[in-house]
Amino acid sequence: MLKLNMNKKITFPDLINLVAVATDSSKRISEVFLKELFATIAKELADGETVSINGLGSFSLTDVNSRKSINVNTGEEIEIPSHRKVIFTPDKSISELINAPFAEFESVILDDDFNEDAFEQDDEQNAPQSEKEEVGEEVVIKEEKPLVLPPPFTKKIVKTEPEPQPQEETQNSEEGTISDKQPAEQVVASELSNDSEANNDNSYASDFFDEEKSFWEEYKTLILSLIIFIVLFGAGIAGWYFYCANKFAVETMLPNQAKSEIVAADSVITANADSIKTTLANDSVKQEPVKSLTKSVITDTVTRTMFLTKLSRKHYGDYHFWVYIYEENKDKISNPNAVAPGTVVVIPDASKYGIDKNNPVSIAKAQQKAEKILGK
Amino acid sequence: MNNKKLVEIIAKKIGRNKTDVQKLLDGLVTVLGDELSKLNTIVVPGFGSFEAKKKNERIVTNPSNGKRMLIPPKISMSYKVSNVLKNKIK
Repeated sequence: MLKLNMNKKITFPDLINLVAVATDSSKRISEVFLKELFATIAKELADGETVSINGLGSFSLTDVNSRKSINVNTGEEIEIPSHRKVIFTPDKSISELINAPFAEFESVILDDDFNEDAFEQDDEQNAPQSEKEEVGEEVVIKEEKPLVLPPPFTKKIVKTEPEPQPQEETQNSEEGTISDKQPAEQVVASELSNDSEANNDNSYASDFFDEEKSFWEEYKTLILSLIIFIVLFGAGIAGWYFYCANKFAVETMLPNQAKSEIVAADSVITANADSIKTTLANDSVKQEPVKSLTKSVITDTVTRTMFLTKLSRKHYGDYHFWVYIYEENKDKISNPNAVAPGTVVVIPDASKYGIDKNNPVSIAKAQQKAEKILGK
Repeated sequence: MNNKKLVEIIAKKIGRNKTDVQKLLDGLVTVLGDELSKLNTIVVPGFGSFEAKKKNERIVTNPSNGKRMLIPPKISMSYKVSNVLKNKIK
């Protein structure tokens, strides 16, 4: 519920409260600290110094040359004198944290015949279409993934994907992108079927390729246009997806969860890598990761900026449920307020403790538990 | 000025030990990261505002080999300096 209030403005008093809660200190201390902190940074900047803060980033100054401009009201030419301005460079850890919903995306090299105009045109056509799909929200998000994913990643998605329809599509796009670039080499690679991971990727893809070779040749243009359509469709959805800011919160959880599942699936893939040699084996590989995925234990690492409460929000959607992560990892954590960065914790299955972020009873239970733990 | 020196100065000014100040600073960083990942804007009067901005995906061309790449969309953190501080620095 809390997360539906998107794009809120956090004022200074709010910030004081939040910091006080996060550090378990009084509001007065938090207020004095924050006032002093920002005053000190401002003073140092005014003195021409650079200020860097661990985990947040650095504030520095840069010179701006004087330039000519026009007064928009009078049309007169004016000169903006040279001055200094503040530049903020965010720390890597915080930018990764903020970019978490898009962390799966990677840059893709486009084909030479890729037409930019077609991209824009199709994008416009797709935009209204996607608006109608409000009901199929989850499917929409998952379809978005193949948009900019490189072939190896798409493969992983195929395995973790629960819905049958996007699975089909991602398979298609996988065949398309890989075999389009180096069809001849792929066949050779599959016959050699080396043990290295890269070659396994190839053989995996080329199994598809062998199976559907004649099909591929027949429908080459059709499939190619289908792939481009999927990519553009995804781009259209990505745009629309941001207009629906209210729904964003619920969805941000999805990529996060998917990510940890992917990590689990990935290790299974490497374990099975040697068995990927024949077309038959191909089928078993496809089923095995799915089976073992449900059994595999999800773990996560505590960092300087990723505390138990945050892990709880990432995995369960509400920070109150940190108590269950603590409960599950009691042997590793002595004080839940000071978990050493780098500690790998097991994230218990949500059903084990009846975790439900939409159920106030479940949250109240977690709160009671937290009081008990902190009180003892 | 690095993190260590900043903590030292603040600790001296508010009369608390460095560990406490570092804890508060870490707490602030966590809160900022938390709120920004919820796409909230944090406004600090007299200092500026922190905001998470969405950058659209775009096509770029590598000038050396002419290859075109699709750069994915991302959310990045941005800081906008307040007018008070801006005038002080000028």
